[in-house]
Amino acid sequence: MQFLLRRLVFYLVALWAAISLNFLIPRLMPGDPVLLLVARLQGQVDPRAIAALRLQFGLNANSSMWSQYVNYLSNLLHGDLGTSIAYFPSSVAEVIGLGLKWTMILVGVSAILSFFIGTLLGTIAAWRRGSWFDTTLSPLLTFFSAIPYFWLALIVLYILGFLLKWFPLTGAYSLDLEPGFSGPFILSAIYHAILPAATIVISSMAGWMLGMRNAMLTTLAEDYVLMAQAKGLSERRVMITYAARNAILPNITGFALSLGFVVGGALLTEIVFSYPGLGYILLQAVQSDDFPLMQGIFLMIAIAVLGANFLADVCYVVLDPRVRQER
Amino acid sequence: MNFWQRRTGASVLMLLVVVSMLLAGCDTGSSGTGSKYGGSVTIVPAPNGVFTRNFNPFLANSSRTGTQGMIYETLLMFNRMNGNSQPWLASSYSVAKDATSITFHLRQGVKWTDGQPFTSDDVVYTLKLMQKYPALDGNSLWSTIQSVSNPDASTVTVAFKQPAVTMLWYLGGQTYIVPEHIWKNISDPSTDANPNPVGTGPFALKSFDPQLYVLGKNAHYWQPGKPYVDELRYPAYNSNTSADLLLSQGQVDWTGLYTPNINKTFVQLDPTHNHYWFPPSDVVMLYLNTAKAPFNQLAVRQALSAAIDRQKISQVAENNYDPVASPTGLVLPADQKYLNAAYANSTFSVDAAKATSLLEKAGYKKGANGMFVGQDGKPLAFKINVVAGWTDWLTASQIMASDFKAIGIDATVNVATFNDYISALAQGDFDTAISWTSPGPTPYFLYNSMLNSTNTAAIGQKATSNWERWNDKATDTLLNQYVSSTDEATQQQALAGLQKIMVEQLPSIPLMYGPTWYEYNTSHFVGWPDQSNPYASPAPYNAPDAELVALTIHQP
Repeated sequence: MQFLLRRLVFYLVALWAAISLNFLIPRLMPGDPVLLLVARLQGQVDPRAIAALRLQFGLNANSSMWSQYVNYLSNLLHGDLGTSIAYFPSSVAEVIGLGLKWTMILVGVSAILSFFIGTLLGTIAAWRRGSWFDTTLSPLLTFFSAIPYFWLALIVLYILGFLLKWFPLTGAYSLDLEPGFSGPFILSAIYHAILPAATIVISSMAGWMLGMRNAMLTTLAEDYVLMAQAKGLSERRVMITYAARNAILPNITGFALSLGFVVGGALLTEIVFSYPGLGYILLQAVQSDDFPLMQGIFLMIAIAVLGANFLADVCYVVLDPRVRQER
Repeated sequence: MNFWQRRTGASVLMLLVVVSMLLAGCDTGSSGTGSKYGGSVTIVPAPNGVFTRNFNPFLANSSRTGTQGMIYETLLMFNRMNGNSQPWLASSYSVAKDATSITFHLRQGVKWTDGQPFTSDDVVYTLKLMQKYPALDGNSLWSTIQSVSNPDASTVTVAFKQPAVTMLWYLGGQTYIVPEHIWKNISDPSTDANPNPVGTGPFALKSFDPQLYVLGKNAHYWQPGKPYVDELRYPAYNSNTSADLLLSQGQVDWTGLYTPNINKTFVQLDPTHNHYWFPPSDVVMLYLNTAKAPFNQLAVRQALSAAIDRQKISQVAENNYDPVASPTGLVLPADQKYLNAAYANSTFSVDAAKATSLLEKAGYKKGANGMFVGQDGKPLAFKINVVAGWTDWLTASQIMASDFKAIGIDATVNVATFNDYISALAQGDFDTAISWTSPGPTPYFLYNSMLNSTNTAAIGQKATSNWERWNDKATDTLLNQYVSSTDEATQQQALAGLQKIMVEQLPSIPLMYGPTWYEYNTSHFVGWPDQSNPYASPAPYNAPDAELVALTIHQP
């Protein structure tokens, strides 16, 4: 318990640091959101609009950094993330809400799938090291993960979506359907998610698999594995409960980190498949100097990474008796 | 176990494929059934992430495309392709002789989509709203407006502080009228997203989803028999690529996207239906910082202009999409009728010998390494600023740099992030930079934003649009002459004078035209604007011009 408590305090301090950096960094960037906006539209906005835009975004206030910081913290405590500039006049919370559910479902599910499939394959590959399974799968997956993601995604989209027309080209669901919890809509959402999810899983699986395979190989050389085999335990039990349980610890930490970054969205996936999500929203925020929106998304990422790491710590306590016994 | 899993996997996949085919089958499609009426137009103005439900016509940059024009309308409808206007919510107008006021006579019988009548009160209310909330006054109308009055239900008179004929464009062509009976209940219109718009336009919001919004036909629209189409569908796409794929499959009817190699990737896939037209919209310039040496010397500006191989830039950097610009700074052919007769046939030509002799006459001498050195002993060297990732302009800058090097000027390309690039332009902290101009329905608007000394600032201070810091009395006088006269001959005389300044003084160097992006598919709808019938600026992102297109297209 004391271990968890100590970690909890650490995470709170880390959270405060993250929030403060989150406040500071966008303000250190050069640029002016209004000029950027006018410029990006390349002459479509009359220069006469500049004054009005400044007023719209509330950028005329010349308050000090410190008072902005205090204001920012107090707004955060009230759950107010501010108003987005890129999506003016929508609130940051509303904009994040638009992308979050799709990101959580698509990227979350594919991260979990990728972790479980990769770890399982790694376990089996290490257990049967040198077999055809091991010698073909490892290079093959490494090959897929070495292909630049957007290229893989574009090729998959072009062949399966455009040429063969097996899958839809864009979007998260068929636009002919009314969104809601209806059968056709959910089926359509799943159907649209297959290609993006598959490309994420394929390209990220190799990391988990190789990590797990290497850790397993070290563990398999341990005496207690030999001992378990000598006791005559079933092969599956030795593989899962004795070897894999010990080998999985580093992968758990990595998994926690990657779960945390899920809320950052999968920018390339979103762009290639025109899939809604936070990655593209973050890109637009950065491109338009939308500090409130950037801060909102970074805050979510920080909280998610810290939270997932805390969960990993809890997992460690469950999986690794040594952690429980320390002090 | 493996076998079973593979089987289920495959059958789930098959099920999904079958389901999707059924769903696709349900799509009624909009192929012609002989009737001119009906059909649903799918439009992608530009890549966009998720949509927010914002239909506030005053928030032009964050409200949904279509808010301006399709839903809320203007008093007049200008055609940017030739500068002409036609009556719209106002059936006629008159500009006072001294150009200090404009009177609009409103159309009778126009109704808001909730059934209430449209009156002069709505127009006055809209203008006063912009006075009360300067954040809504996107064109700074109230820096010019003195007062607004409506003597009766169908007349509105707007008086100005000084003569201002160009207010006709801002008031008539770019101000979207909102209903008083609804907007008076909105507590702060400058931060209201106006999720349920009520306008006078040919379309009204039918359904909204962050991935797709649909504007449905207004059955009681004031133009009888129009629009022909039933609805406009705006789906959200994150990238050009996905919209391009759909466009080439005929699933999208109308886009405003940059498409590389368009003949191969789009037109050739279906030459009878897939079309594009990229009419020039503005002039891309090489801005020279005329507030500092050596660009304050006319000879240097002339030499630089003579050294540039614009044809090569147009071919190599711009896919031939952007033709070489006119030396007058006019956007041709749209501005053809304003062209000064003296420059009817004037074009740019590459003349390295002339460039060299100009520089020599100005006192520059070639050093030992063959590069020009000024009288102060400093080499003639400068940077060309360009934005990282804007590959066409980057290539154009590299071509110019090598053209300049060829005649003995040490020019280098300075690639910067967008932030740095734009702040350098605004602050005057640059040598030269390739950049755009801000056009309007007549050449005045481009000249005014680029050349008027009120739009510039000293080096180190932010200039709004006169980045090259052109500060010239004669120019200002001509601009003022145009804006304070209602007489077309006087206006034309001013424009001719401005063209003369552009050609002879070279305040900045015209390179090529910036295109309007516009692709369309004629398998479901016809009647699109094209080169032979340029009845409107054709890009779906141009407001209110796109409204005119939506009112004209129909099923074949």
